[in-house]
Order: sequence, then structure tokens, then C-alpha cells
Amino acid sequence: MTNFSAKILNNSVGALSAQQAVIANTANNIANVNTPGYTRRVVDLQTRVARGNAGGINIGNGVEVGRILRITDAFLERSLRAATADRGSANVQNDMLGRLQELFSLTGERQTIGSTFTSFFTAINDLAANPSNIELRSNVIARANELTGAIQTTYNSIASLQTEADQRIISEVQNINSLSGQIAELNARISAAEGAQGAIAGDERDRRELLLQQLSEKANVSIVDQSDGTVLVSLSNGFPLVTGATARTLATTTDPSFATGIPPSSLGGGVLSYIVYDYDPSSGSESHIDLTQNITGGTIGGLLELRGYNDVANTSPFNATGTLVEVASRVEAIARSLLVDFNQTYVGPDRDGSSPNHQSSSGDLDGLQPTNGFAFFNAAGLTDVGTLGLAQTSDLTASGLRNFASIIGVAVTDPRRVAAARDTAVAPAAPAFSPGDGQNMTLLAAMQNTSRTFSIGSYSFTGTYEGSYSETVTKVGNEKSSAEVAAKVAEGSYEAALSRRDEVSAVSLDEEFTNLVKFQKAYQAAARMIKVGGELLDEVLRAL
Amino acid sequence: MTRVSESQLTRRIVLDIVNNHNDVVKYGEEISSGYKVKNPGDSDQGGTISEFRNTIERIKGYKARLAPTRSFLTHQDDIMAQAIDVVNRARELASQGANETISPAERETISREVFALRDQMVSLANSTYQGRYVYGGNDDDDPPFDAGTPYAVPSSGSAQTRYVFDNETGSTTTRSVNVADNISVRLTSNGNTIFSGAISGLDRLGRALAGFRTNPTNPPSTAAPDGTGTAYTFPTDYEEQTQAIEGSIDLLNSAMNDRFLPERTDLGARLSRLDTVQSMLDATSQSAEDSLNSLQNADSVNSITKFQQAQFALQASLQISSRVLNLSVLDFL
Repeated sequence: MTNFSAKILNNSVGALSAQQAVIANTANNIANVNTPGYTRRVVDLQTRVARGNAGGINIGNGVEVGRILRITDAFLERSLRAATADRGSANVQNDMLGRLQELFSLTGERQTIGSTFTSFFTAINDLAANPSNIELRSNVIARANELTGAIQTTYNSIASLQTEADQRIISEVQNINSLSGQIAELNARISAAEGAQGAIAGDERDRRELLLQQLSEKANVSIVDQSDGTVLVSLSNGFPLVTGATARTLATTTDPSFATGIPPSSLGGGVLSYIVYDYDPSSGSESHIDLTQNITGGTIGGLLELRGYNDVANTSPFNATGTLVEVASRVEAIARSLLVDFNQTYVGPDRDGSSPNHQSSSGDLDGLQPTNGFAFFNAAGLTDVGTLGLAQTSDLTASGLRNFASIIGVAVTDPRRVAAARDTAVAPAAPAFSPGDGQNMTLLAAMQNTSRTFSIGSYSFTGTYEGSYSETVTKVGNEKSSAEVAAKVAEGSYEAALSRRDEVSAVSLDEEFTNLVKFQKAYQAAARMIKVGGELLDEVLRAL
Repeated sequence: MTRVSESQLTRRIVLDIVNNHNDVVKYGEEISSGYKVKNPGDSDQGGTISEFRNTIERIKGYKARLAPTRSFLTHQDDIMAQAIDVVNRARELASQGANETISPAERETISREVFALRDQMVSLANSTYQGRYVYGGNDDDDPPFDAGTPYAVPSSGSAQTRYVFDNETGSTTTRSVNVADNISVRLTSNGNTIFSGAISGLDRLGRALAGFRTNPTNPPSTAAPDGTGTAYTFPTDYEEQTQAIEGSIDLLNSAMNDRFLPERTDLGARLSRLDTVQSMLDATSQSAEDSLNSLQNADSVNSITKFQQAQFALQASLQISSRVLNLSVLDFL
């Protein structure tokens, strides 16, 4: 006769242990309800299979704990990572462009390049009508100083945004290194744990998943699961960032080994960083490969799009791509046009072609002529370009300077020295001026409505001074509003992806509580069964 | 069946509250600042708004120049009116003097008033406006007419003094002012052209009445008198003196009809042009203000309505959140 009493006790003890395991798992799930990246676990209960052939009547062998399942969906994790990368890029762009657009404020409460241009030309028109008035002369100088001040402030603020973007790229690269190091370490632990013991290293996988998501926020990475439980993390060009237990450390440098000339300068006159990998550190000298353009998406990708990327062969900051560079180029082009076109008109054509007696055809209140080509607007470091000094745009950079918008100033300080007069006679032996002559100012005032082509680096645009400023405002506005839309879209799809992931993988307390009740009851029942089994045995014993 | 986890629920609620809060802040700011567009990114019309602002500022500059321009031209109109009075009085005196019933001594008496009229004409030609000679062109240093080489005869007195136009650099240049984009109005006229004829005519008339010839003797020749005129002898030259007086009347008529009257008409035309420009500027700036207003300024009724909606939404989401977050199966177990 088969002893079923033993079976009762056996199965009940097994059931106790199994329900306990489930309750313990529930406790773990509840404990981690707010842990970021935690994937809920489910205990897989299965019927216990008897060893060998039991024969006779098979009542069943009770329950046992099969596996602990991590409820996760690789595709949802992947789309969450992609959404995280998009969100990282869109947010950082929206944030920085938000600060850029404040330089082009439309409220009229702060001086912008546009508003100072208008008041400058108004002052010139006023002086044209009344050239011997010292007050109006001072007014022209004051408005010109406001204009150059606005140009300087705008340009310098854009330049410092670019520097900030560059520095954030440097610190984000360090973050990437720290993340990829931790991922490599977790890779090692997962493959060791799962290879030797055959168990799922759930906690390590959760941690790694979270780190991968954080890594995706910095840059677009592609992640491939390997058979040994590790993941292969690579950049968009296939550069392997993490292989098994190895992480490759990226670096930023302003002096990469592949650069042949001077590295590209930043808008502020500094140098832009490259993201590089030293593939042979043991060689003693640096052997860099350039990864700058291979990092797309994420905060670094977003920052690179703003900051711009310049080829090593190009030393001018205005040859770079990038939103900030394009806007700064427009400001710089306006500054250069003031230094060249405006000054040319101000000095007037050369009245005497023969060296060295060059004579400008404009004169100030005392009949003196400006002697320098940079007679009205000047920039520290710019000197007379020789002869009469009618500067050409090409002369500007000859002095080794690059960013004139950051240093443009007004050369005239004495109101009497403003050359309002112009001798319009053709080639007089000696130009003569009368103090009340405002013809030079009339000619300068006409520049307000003259359309010109501004050309710099890889950018070129046409318009009047104020018109080209307004066009820049439109440009900034479009960049900002599309960044804002992109940020909203990215936030939405991130939220959706996270929501879908949480729908599957996150802990629901209601569910856990219900389970708790269910398994607690089962545990109580199993305990009761042990008592019943014991009583059955007692009955037999008593009969003896 | 959709699973709803705790983290989903809280995040969703927090997100809703944050969004509603942002709306409240946004519309609140619209109401308090009065602007719905503050920065270029707030609208796709940023460049247009900036253009309108420039236009309005520029027109402000033009308008500020209109009033002084108008008063300057009006001032010149007054000068012309006075000049015309002077010439009219001189013509009356000339007809009196040309009457052959009066004696040379009486003619000499008349000449004194004529010289006074001449001096008045010179001071009209040399008049200043805000520190600048009205008819001096760009030459602000010297008056347009000053006493040049005196006549040889007589050796003293008003009849000897000769006024000539001071020909220096810029003294005949006219000035103009920009009163609108690509519209400029001439401010001044050439003093030589306007006044030389009248002053010369008065000179000749005065000298003839006072009893002195002026070379060249043949008006209406407008060539500058060279100062070699000699005295008439009476009674032989009485007839010649009368002819000289009548000749100078021709000069005065010509100054009146060819210079002062056309100049006055021209001033009137320029003044009415200013009025046209003024109303054009007013219209342009008004429409720019209107456009700017509709593009940039917050519609307060709209903003307040939206603010209230946002406020209700925020309150609702806060209330809902407290209900939903408190809902748990735990309370029922």
C-alpha cells in the first residue's frame, strides 16, 4: 500500500516553500516599486515531477519553484532608448536656443542690433540736415557706440553659448566614459553569473539596462545582445564602445594627432574640441581617430549641431556648420560691412590717385580729412591698410584677426571730427569743405535703404542692414520654434515609450497586494494540510 | 487588458500638473507683460515684428525732423514777404523820384530811405535761423552778403557802400533734409540768385537818386557794378539821372517777378509737400503700429479667458491627483 500520509506532508511542505518564495518575490517587487529601471519579477511555479517511475496511482508530487522571470520586452527597451536619445538632443537644443533668442528680443525694451541701427541712421539723417550742430554730432557718436555695443554683446553672447556647448560636450564625453566603464563591468558579472550558475542575473541586468538608457541620452548607440549575456555597444559608425568586459575610453582634445594645421577656432577665438579615441596609447605618441562627426543624437549630438563642426583644414570659425555659427556669422558679416562699406562711404573716394598725397573727399567741422581707412568704425588691432586705406573685406583678416564683431568700436570720439562734409567736385587739387556741409551724412544716410550682399565663410545673404537683421531674427525664431516642437514631440514619444515599457515591466502595487493575499491564503492552506496530514498519522498511531 | 503600474500613474499625473502649471504661468505672463510674443521663437513672424519696430522708430525720426523743417520753411516765407514789402516800397519811392517835377535835392532826400531799404534787404539776406545763415549755403562762418570794395564816388556815406555776395566754398550749395525714405525736401535756396538782383537794384536806385552814376550804366545789365560811377552835374545830367532811376525800377521788377515771387511759391509748394509727407508718415506708422499690435501684443480678453481655463485645468488635475493616488486595493483588504 502506498503511504499517502507521507505524500500529504511532502507536498504540503513543498507548497509552503513555493508560496513563501512567491511572497518573498512579492516583497522584493514591492520594495522596488519606485526603483528606476527595475523590472518586475514573476515566480514561475510548476508541478513537481517525480524522479523515476512512480508506478500505481500518481496523485502528483506537489509544486516547485521553476524559474524567476524578468518581465521585459527587448523591443520596448530599444524604442525607449531611441526616444531617450531624441529627447536628450531636442531638450538641450531647445534650452540653448531659448537663451539665444533672448538676444533678439522683440519687446523693444532692450537694445538690439536692429533698434540701434535705426536710431543710428536717424542720428545721421538729423546731422545731415544740420551738420554744424555739435549736439547732433555727439548724438551720431553716441548712437554709433550703442550700435557697436549691441553688435558686441550679441556676438559675444553667441560665442559664449558656443563655448558652453563645447564644454558640455567635454563633460558629457566623460559621462559616457563612466557609463561605458560600468556597463563593461556589469557585462563581466552577468556573463560570469549566468554562465556558471545558469541563473538570470536580474539585478545586474536591470542596472545595465538603466545605464544603457542613460548612455542613449548622451548619444545614439547601437546595442546588440550577445549569447553570453553581454551587450555590444557601438557608436553610429560602428566604433565599439563596449565589447564584453572591455570599455574604450573616449577623449576630447583641441590638438588631435590627425590635425595638420591650426585647429578650427571657436567664435570666441578659442579652439573647438574634437572627440577622439587613442587607438594605440602604448606607442607613446597619440594616435587619434576622429569620432566627432560619428556621434549623432543624444545631448552630445544636439550640442554638436548647435556648436558646429569644422574640418581641420578650415581655420575660420565661420566655415563651420551649426546653428550658433550661422547666427554669429550674420552678426559678424554686419560688423565687417560697417568696417568696410560704411567706412568706404565715410572716407569717400580718393581724390588724388598718386601716392603719397592721397586725399579723402570728406571733411570734418574744421575742414580736416580723415586719414585712415578705418576712420569711423574701427576694431582694436586694425591699422590703416595703406595708401588712403579704403579697406576691402579681404584686408580685414590680413591682420590675423578673425572676429571683428566682438571688438568693433567707434574711432571718432570728438564730435568736431565727424566728417559730415563732402567735396563732390571731380578730382579737385585740394578738397575744400564748408562747415555747414552735410553731404557726406546724406550719402551715409542713403546706406540705410541700400541692399548689399553680406558674405562670410560659407554663408552669404542679401539685404539692407536692418533687413538682414530682421532676417536673422526670423532665422533664430524658426530654429527656436522648431526646436521647441521637436522637444515636445521627443518628450511625448519618450513618455509614450516609457509608459509602454512600464505597462509591461513596472510594478503594480494592486497586483502585488492581490498576489500577496492569494499566496498568503495558499500558504495558510498548505500549513493546514500539514496539520491534517499529522492528524491522519495520529489516527493510525492511536489505532495501534 | 492594459496593465497600469504605479510609476506610470504618478508620472502621468505629475506631467499633467506640470503642463497645466506651465499654461497658467504662460497666460499669466501674457496678461502681466501685455506681450504674447516676446522672443523670436514665440512666433513665426519674428522678422516681420522686428521690421515693423524698425519702421516705427524710423518714422519717429522722420516726424521729429518734420516740425523744425516746417518752421524753417515758414521762417523763409516770412523773409520773402518782408523782402517783397521792401521792393514794393522801393518801387513807390522810385516812381516818386522818377517824376521830373522834383529837384535833385528832393531826389537826394528820397535816396536816404532807399539806402535804408537796401540795408534792410541785406539784413534779410543775412538773416540767421538757429545760428546758421539762411541764405549762406553750407558756409556757416560768414554772412552771405558783406560790404565789398566800396564805390569810388562818393568817398563816404551810404551811397559809397557796396554789398556783394561772398563767394566761398559751399556758399551757393543748397541744403536738403530727408523727410521720408527716399524723399528729401530742399531746405534752402541759393542766396546769390535770390537777393543779388534786388540788392544791386536798390544800390543803383539809391545812387541814382543821390546823384551818382553806376557802371555799367545800362540796366537791365545785371553785371556787377564796378564802382567807377561818377557824379551827375545838374541841370545838364538831370535827364540821364531820370533814366537811371527808371532803369533801376526794371531791375526791382525783375527781382520781384523772377526771384521773390517764384521763391515764395516754391516755399509754399515745399510746405504743402511736407503736409503730404506728414500724412503719409502718419498713415504708415499707424498701420505699422496696428500690425505690430496684432502680431505681438496680447489680446487681454483672450489671455484672461485662457488664463482662467488653465487655472481650472490645474485645479482639476490637482484634485484628481489626490483622489487617484489615494486609490489602492490596500484600503480594501
